[in-house]
Amino acid sequence: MTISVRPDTMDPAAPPRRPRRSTVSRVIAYVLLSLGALACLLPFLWMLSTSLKSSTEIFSFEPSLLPEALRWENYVRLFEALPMARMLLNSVFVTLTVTLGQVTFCCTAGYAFARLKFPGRDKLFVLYLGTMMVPFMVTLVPAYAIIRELGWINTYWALIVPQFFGSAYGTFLMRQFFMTLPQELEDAATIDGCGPLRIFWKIFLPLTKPAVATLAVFNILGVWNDFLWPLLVIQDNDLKTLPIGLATFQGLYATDHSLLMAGAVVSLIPMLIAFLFAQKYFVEGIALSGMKA
Amino acid sequence: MTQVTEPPSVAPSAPAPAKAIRGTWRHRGRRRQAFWGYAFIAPNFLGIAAFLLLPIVISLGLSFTSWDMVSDPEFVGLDNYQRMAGDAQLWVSLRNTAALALMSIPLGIAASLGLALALNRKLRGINIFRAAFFLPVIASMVAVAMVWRWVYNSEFGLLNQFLESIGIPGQNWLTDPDLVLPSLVLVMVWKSMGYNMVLFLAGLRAIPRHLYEAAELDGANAWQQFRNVTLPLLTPTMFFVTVMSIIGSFQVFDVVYIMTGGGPGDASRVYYYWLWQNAFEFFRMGYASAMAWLLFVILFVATLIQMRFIGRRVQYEMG
Repeated sequence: MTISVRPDTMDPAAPPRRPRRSTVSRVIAYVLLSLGALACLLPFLWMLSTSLKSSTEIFSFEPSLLPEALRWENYVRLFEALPMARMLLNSVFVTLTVTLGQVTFCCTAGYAFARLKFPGRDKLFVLYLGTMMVPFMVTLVPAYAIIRELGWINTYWALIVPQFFGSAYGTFLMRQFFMTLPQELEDAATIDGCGPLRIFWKIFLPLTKPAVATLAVFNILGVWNDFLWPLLVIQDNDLKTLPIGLATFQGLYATDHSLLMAGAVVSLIPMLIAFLFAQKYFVEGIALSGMKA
Repeated sequence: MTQVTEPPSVAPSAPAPAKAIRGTWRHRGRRRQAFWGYAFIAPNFLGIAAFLLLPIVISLGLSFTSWDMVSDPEFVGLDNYQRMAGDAQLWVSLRNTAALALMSIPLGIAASLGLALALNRKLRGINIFRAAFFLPVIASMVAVAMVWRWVYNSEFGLLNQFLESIGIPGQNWLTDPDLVLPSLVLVMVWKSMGYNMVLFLAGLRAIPRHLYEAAELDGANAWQQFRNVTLPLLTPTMFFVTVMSIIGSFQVFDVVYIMTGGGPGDASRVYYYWLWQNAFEFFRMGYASAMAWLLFVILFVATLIQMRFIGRRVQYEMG
């Protein structure tokens, strides 16, 4: 089944039905949504508030969401306790590099699977689909052994290379997208004498911006929050990404809650900014992943 | 399943001279296409071959060996698979994992579908709500687990302080063997609710309006409309969310690693955690590989069963 992204699917346009019932259901909806939003936000507020409290305030039996005074020095302590700035930088660097590679190579491979004909193409594609059913766990031990064999333990290579050349899933998404573009585009260009490279570069690539943005956002989210693999291949504090850096914090400062929560806040901020700027793509990316069904 | 649609190919050998010229042109074009096809796929394929296909093959091989990562792997036949049957810890971890799945999936679906239904209308501030539900999705599981560990703190945590303020005694959420799994379920549901909500929302928006109008003309009330229009047309999304949730819940790791370390005792030791410990604490690589393949078989069978019993009733489209 091919993916068809209906432009209207994300549009909040449902004309109200009978007015009387719609008022009641509207109130119920608001109550439900507000409770849900509160449940989602409260732990984050608690996290932020704890990160700004003194330790006497934290261990008090009458807690309040508002700290007595905003103790920003907790954040200074955080950046002094572990190489937090370096970890932030590592996370940004690894996430951007991997995403750049993923998008590039999923795009080219997806294009080839969708629009170019070559012997063995369909068998190869079935192989790709097959790998998508294998859980990551299966490859964990051998992938670690391969990285160790290459001497990449405790290097950026271990974090970047395995994902850099694109995933089967990303290729699948891009292929489905390229399939939806009209054949006429290609025919016209072929008659004008354009080769596959020019057609890809000049005609198809400019049309893929939404799909690329979606894939990129999806990747950024995944790589930024990745835990298990970095935990396995990185031990050096200076090379740690934020999630495993935070886990290290927790091991070292198990009871220093303001420090731990400050770390959690810092790890959240970059994604929060990305989300505010690209909310549309976050949401569409997820909706798109469901179209696979 | 994915179907590859081939544009009708033109036979290259044609008698007329004009067509013969076009034929050679097409022939050249085809070779050029094949060249670029391989060139475009090469980096992606090599990456996947080295870090996915090769590991899959090695993993299968390793599962028949005993290997500690120091000496050479030693072939032991089906030993690892036989040993799994007698590994009480493995069955405990499998039971814990299944318990997590059985609790979190229905709860997660109910919560995310409820929110999606509430959001599926014209409302003021819809973007604010959506952003709020999405915050747990974009936060890393590590940060989420750290926050919730603090929320669950038996003395100074937000939850117990709140419960005590309304007269309910606080609980040891993460150290009571009976409560630890439900506590983890709550975190998992909280984390994934926004994600599944977006999926359900997309499913809801794809249902044509006129079906509701027709149902209304027939005198169907809100519940009947939900039961007879919304739910049946939402089955593909429901199916997808369920399949993905099952796969996801069998791969729970981060939250357990950060929040409980598998404890108290082995009350929250999940399958993935036990596999991790076997591989990277006890260096039983062969055994861990065999465990991974058992999981693959479990997930594969679970998906097949769902496709057979639920997938068959999935209504993808309505005329």
